[in-house]
Amino acid sequence: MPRLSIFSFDTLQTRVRPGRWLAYWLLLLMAGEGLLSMGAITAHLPRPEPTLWYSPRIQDKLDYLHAFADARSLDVLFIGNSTVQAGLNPAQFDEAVANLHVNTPRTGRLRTTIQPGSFNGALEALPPSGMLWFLQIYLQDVHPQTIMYGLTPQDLNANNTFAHNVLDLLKDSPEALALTEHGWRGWLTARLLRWSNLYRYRFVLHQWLLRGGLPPVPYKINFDARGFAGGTLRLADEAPGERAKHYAVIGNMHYAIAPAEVEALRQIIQLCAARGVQLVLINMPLADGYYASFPDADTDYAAYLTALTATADAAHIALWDMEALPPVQAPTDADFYDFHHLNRAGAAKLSALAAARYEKPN
Amino acid sequence: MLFNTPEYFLFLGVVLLIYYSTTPRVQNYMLLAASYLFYSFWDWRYLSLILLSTIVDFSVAQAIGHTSQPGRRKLWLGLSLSVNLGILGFFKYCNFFIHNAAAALTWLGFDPHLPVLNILLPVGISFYTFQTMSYTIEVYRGKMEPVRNLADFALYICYFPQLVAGPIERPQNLLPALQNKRTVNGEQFISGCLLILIGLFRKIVIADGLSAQIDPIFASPALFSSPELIMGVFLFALQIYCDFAGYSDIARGSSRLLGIELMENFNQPYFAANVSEFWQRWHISLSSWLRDYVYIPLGGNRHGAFNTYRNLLLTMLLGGLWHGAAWTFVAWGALHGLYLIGIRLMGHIWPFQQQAADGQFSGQRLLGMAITFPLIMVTWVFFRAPGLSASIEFLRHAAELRQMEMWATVWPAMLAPLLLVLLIDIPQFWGRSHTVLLQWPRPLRDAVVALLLFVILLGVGTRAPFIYFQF
Repeated sequence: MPRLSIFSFDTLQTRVRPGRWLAYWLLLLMAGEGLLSMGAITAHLPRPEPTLWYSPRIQDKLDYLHAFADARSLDVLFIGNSTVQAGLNPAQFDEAVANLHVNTPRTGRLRTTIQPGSFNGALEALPPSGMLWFLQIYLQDVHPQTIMYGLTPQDLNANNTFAHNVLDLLKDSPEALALTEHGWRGWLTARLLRWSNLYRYRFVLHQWLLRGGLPPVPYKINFDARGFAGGTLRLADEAPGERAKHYAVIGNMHYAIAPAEVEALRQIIQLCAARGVQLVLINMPLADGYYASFPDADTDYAAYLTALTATADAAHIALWDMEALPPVQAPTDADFYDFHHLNRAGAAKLSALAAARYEKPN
Repeated sequence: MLFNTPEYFLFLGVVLLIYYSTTPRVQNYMLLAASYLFYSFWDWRYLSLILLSTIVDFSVAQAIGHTSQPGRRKLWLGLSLSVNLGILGFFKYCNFFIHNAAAALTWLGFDPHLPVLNILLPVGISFYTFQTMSYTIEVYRGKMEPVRNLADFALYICYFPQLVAGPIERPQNLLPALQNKRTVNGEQFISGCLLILIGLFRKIVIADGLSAQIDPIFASPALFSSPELIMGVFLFALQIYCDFAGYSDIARGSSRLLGIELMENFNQPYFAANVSEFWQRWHISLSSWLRDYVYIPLGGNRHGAFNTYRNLLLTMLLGGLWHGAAWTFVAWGALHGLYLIGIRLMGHIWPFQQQAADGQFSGQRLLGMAITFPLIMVTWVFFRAPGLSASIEFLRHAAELRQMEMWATVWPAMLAPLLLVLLIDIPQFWGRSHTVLLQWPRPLRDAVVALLLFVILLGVGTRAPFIYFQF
C-alpha cells in the first residue's frame, strides 16, 4: 500500500496479522454452521428464527393466534394498537354475538345461531404501516372471515414517538426485512434466513450465551390466550392532579397527519380485499381528557377523522365511529384506565357494541 | 446514525479514505464537513444550535482575549454561559418546569392551563454544551489562549466521534490535537480497531442482549419476585455500563483511527472500592467537568465540613439533572451526593478509605466493591424506572423478599453476563490498559479477536440506540 499523507503500515506487519483474525473467524463460522446442521444438537436448543422482533410477547401472540386458529374457526380478528388490545375482549364479543336476540329487519330471524370465534391480534403502539407488516405475517397462516381494525388519532399522527420507536424496531426485524425483501438488507436477510443455520439460531445462541446455557427466566404475558389485555384501574377514581401522568403515554402531542400511514391503511384495505376478508374500521373511543393533550384539539381530531372517513369511503369500507356514540352508550371515565385505554368494564361495553353491529359475511 | 450500524462503518470508512489521502491543511475542513453530515443524519435543523454555540463562544473567547478588564471579561463570560445554558434550558428543561409549575399550581387549588412545548430534545446537546462552556471558562480563567481559526474551533465542538455522547473533551486536550499535524501508524490503527471491536462486544453482545430480560421487569415490577427484581437492576447495572462504555470505546477507537486521542471515559467503575472512586472511574469526563466547573468554584472542601457536604450534594444534584429533566434523575444525583457525604464522614474507617491500590484486587478493594456495588445498584433503580413513585415501588417490592426460592433460577442469569463483562474488564484492570489484548501472546490474541467477531455477529440485529444518546 502506498504511503499516504499521514498513514503508515510501517510497524503493522511486525506485530499483528489481521488476516489470521479473519481466518480464525471464518473457521468458527464454518464450525458453527456444521454443528447447527446436526439434529442431535438443534434438538436441545430452543426454536430458532423467526422470532418476531426478538420480543417474546409478540411471538407469544402469534403462537396464541395459531393455537386458536388450529382449535376452532377464526371468524373475527381484531387488529390495532394497545387501545384495541385492551378495548375489545374476544370472549365477551363472542358471547354477545351468540346471545343476541335481535330480530333482523330483513329476515325476521334471530341471529342466535352465530357462534363466532374471535381473536385479538392487536400489538402495542403499532401504526398502520407496522400493522400492514404484521397482517401479512398473520395472513400467511390464518384465514379470518372478518378483520376489525381499531384506530385512534395517534395511528395517523406523523409525530407519534411511540410509533416511530416501534417502527424502528420493526424495520430492523429480520422477519419483516425478509418478508418484503426491501433493499439490499432485505434481500440478504431473506437468503440468510433460508440458507444459514447460524443466522437462524444466532438470537437463540446469543441469549444462551447471556444465560450461561440455562433456560430463560419465565416471563409474564400481559394478555390472555385470545390476545386480550384487560386493565382493572378506573380513570374515574383518580384525582384530576394525578391524571397528568397519562399524557406521557399518549405519544407526541404535536399532531400532523402522516401520509405514509394513510397510505398504509389503504394497503391494508387492499390486502384484505385481495384475500377476500371483510374489513371493518373502528374509530376507538377516547376519554374526554385525551383531547386536552392536543394544542388544537378540534382541528387535530377533525383532520384525523376526515382522513379516516375519506379512506374508508373511498374503498367502501364500513367505519364504526365509537367516539360518536349516543351518551347513553358512550364509555365514561369509569370505563377507561387512562385517557385512551378502556378497562375491563369498558372493553365489555365496546365488545358488546361491536357484536351488535357485526354481520357475519356469507 | 448509530455507532453500531453498518451505515456508521460505511461512513467511517469513507471518511478515513478521504482523510488519509488529504493534506493536513484540508483534513480539518473535511472532518468538519463530515461531522456536520454525521449530525444531519439525525436532524439537520438542530445543526443551527451547534452553529450558534460555535459562533457565540468563538466570538466571546476572542473578546475575552482582547480585554484585560475583569468586569468586561466577566460580562463576556456571562453572555456565553447565558446563551449556552439558555439553549440547553429551553430544549431540555422547559417542559419539566412547566409540568412542575402546573402540578404546584394544581396543588395550591388553581386550575392551570400552561402551554407545553412540542420540541424534540436535540441529540447530544448536554455533551456539546458542556464542552463549549469549558472552552470559554478556560479562556476566561486565562489558562489558554483563544483559538484563532474558526474551523478548528467548530471542529472542537462537533467532532463526530464524540459529538453526541462524549467524552466531554477539555479544550487543552482536544484543541491541540485538532490544530497539530497527526500521524497514524499501524499499531494505532490496530488498537483503534480493537477498541471498536471491544465497544461493539459490550454494546451488541451484552447491553442489547440484556434488554429482553430487563425491560419486562421494569415495566411491571409488581409481577415479579424479589430475586427477579434484584436480577433486573443487577442486569441493568451491567447493561448501562456496557452500553455507555461500549459507546465510548467505539468513539475513542474511531478517533484513534484519525490520529486523535480522546480521553478515557470509563475505567472499570464497578471495581471501585467506594463511591468516591466510582466517580473517578465512571463517566470520567462528566465527573471531572463537574468537579472543575461546579464543585471547586462552589468552594470545594475549603470552607469546613458543612460547606463541603453542601457542595457535594449540589454538584451531584446538578449531575443528576444533567442526565435528564425528571425527578428520578434528581433523586439519582441526590443519592450519589449522600453517598459521597457518607464517604467523607467514614473516610477514616477501613474499607471506606479513599483509595485502594489500582490494578490489584486487594482485600480492601474486594470488600469495598462488595459494599459499593449494591449501593450503586440502588441508584440505578431511580435511573431506569419510569418515575419516582415507580422507583420507590420497585425498591419496596425488592425489599419485601417475596418468593425467595426464585434465587435458584435467577442467579445463573446474573452470573453469565457478569462473566462476559469480567472477560473484558479484569484483563483491562490488571493490565491498566484498554488494549491490553494486544500485549498477549499472538495465538491467544488472534483466537480472542476471532471469538469476539463471532459473538458480535450473533448479536447483530438486536440493535437499540445507545442509552446515553437521550442526554
